[in-house]
Amino acid sequence: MGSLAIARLSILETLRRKEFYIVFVFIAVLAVWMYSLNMTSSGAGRFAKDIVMQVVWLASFALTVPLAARQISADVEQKSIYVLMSRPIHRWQYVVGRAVGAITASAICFTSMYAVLILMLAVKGAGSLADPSLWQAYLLQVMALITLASLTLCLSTVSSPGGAITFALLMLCATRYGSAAIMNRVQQMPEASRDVAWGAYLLIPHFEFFNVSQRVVHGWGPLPTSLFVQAMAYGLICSIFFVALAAAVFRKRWL
Amino acid sequence: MEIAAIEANGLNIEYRTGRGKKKLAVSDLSFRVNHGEIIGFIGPNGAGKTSTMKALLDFSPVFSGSCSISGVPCSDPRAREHLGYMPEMSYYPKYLTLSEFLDTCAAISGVPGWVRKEAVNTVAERVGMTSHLKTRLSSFSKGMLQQAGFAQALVHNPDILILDEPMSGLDPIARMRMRQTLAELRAEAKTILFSSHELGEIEMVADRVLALNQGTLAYEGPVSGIVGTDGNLEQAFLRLLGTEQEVAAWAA
Repeated sequence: MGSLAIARLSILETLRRKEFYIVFVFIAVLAVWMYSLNMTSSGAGRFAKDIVMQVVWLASFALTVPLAARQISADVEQKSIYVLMSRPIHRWQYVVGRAVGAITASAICFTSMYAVLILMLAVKGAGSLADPSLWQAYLLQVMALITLASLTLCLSTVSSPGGAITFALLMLCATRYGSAAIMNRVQQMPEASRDVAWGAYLLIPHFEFFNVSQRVVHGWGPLPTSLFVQAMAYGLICSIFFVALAAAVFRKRWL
Repeated sequence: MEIAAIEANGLNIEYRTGRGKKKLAVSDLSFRVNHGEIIGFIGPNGAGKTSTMKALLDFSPVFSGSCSISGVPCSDPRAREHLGYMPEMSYYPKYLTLSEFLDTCAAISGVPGWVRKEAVNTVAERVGMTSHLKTRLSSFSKGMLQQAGFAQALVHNPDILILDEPMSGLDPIARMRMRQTLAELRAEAKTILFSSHELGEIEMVADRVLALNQGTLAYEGPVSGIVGTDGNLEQAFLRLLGTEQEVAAWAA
C-alpha cells in the first residue's frame, strides 16, 4: 500500500508538472503532420513511417529520462522525503513506489502518442490495427522505457539528476543507435583488450533488443515468439536488477 | 517496568562534514519519554535536537547506542506505525492540494481507503484548514504550510508525536489554535516530544523538559526545576545552556 501511494504521488506530480500537456501538444502536431504525409507509396511511404516512429520513440525516451531522474533526487533535495519516510514503510518500498510511478507515467505518455501513431497509420492506409508487429513494437518499446526508467532511477541514487540523465542517455544512444559501430570497433581491438571490452559491453543494458521499428516499417512481420519473449524477459531482469540496486544504495543513505 | 513511548540509550550520532571528517552531533544521550507525557526539547542552535529526532525516525544512522519507539528499535519501520512527525521546515510536495497531500500521507501510513476521506476531513477541521482542502500547497503561506505539516502528522491518528519547532511561523491565532490542539492531544493521552525556541510555549505546554547542549543532555526534569526564583525561563535557559560570555552579556 505504501509503494502504491508513492507511485500515485509520482503520477500526480507528472500531471501537475504539465508533462502530460506537452504530450498532448506533441500528439496534435504528430497527427496533423502524419495526415499531411504521403504514406502509401512504397519508398517515400516507408521513409515517412520510419521518421514518424523514430520521433515517437525519441519523444518517449526524452520524457522518461528526466522524469525518472528527479523521482528520488527531488525528494531528497527538497526534503519532502522526511514526510514520506517518517511513516511505517521500508526504504525499498519508497524506491519501488517511485520506480513504479515513473514507469507508469512514462508508459501513459508513450501509449497516448503510440495510439495516435497507429490510428493515423490506419487512416492513411499504411498500417492495420490487426498487424501483430505494431503491437509487438509497442510492447517492446514499453519494456525499453521500463528498463530506461529503472536504469535512470538507479543512477540518480549515486549521482546528481544531471549526471544520471547524461549517463542514461549515453547508454541508450550507444546501445540503441550505435550498437553495430561499437561491435565493429571491439572486433578491431587487440585480443587482450577485446575480451575486456566485450565483457564491459555485455554488462551494460542493451536497448537495441527492444527496437523492431524496421520490421514494422518494411513489413517484415513480427519477431518469432521465442525472441520476443527473450527480449521482454531481458528487459524485466535488467529493470528488477536496477531497482533492487537503487533500493540497496538508498537503504544506506543519510537523509 | 512499562515500555517507554520513546527511549534513547547511550545514543551517539556522527555526521560526515567533509573528506573522511566526522562531527559528533550527539554524545552518549539517554532519556525516556513515558506514554502520555508532553516533553519540551530545548537547546541552542546546533545542540543536537534535530539530529536526535532524525535518529528516532531512522533518517540518519546511529553510530552507537540505541533508540526505540514503543519498544520497537527505530531502525524497524514498525516503530513508525503509531508515530506522527512534523519537520522543522515545510518540506512538502507543493504541487498537491492539501486534500491530496493528507490523503497520500494517510495512505502511506496504512489508513484504509474507505476511512481516509473522513480522516482527512477530521484532521483538516482540527487544524482549522477545512476551507483550504482544495488549495494547492504551492499557494500556502509559511504559517499555513506549518499547519498543513501539523495536519499530516496527525492524519493517521498516531499515539506518539515528534514535532520539530511546531510553533515557528505561526500567527498568534494559529499559535493559540495549536496550543489548544496540543491540550486536546494531552487529554487523549498522546505522547508528544516537541522542540522549540519559544520558551514560553514550552512552559505552558510541557510536563518535562529535555535540555541539550553541545550534543549532551544538560538537564532533564520539570520546567520548574530550571526556572530561577525570578521565574524567568529565558534567564534560566541562558544560565543552563549559554556560554559564560552570553550570561555576562545578559547580566550587563
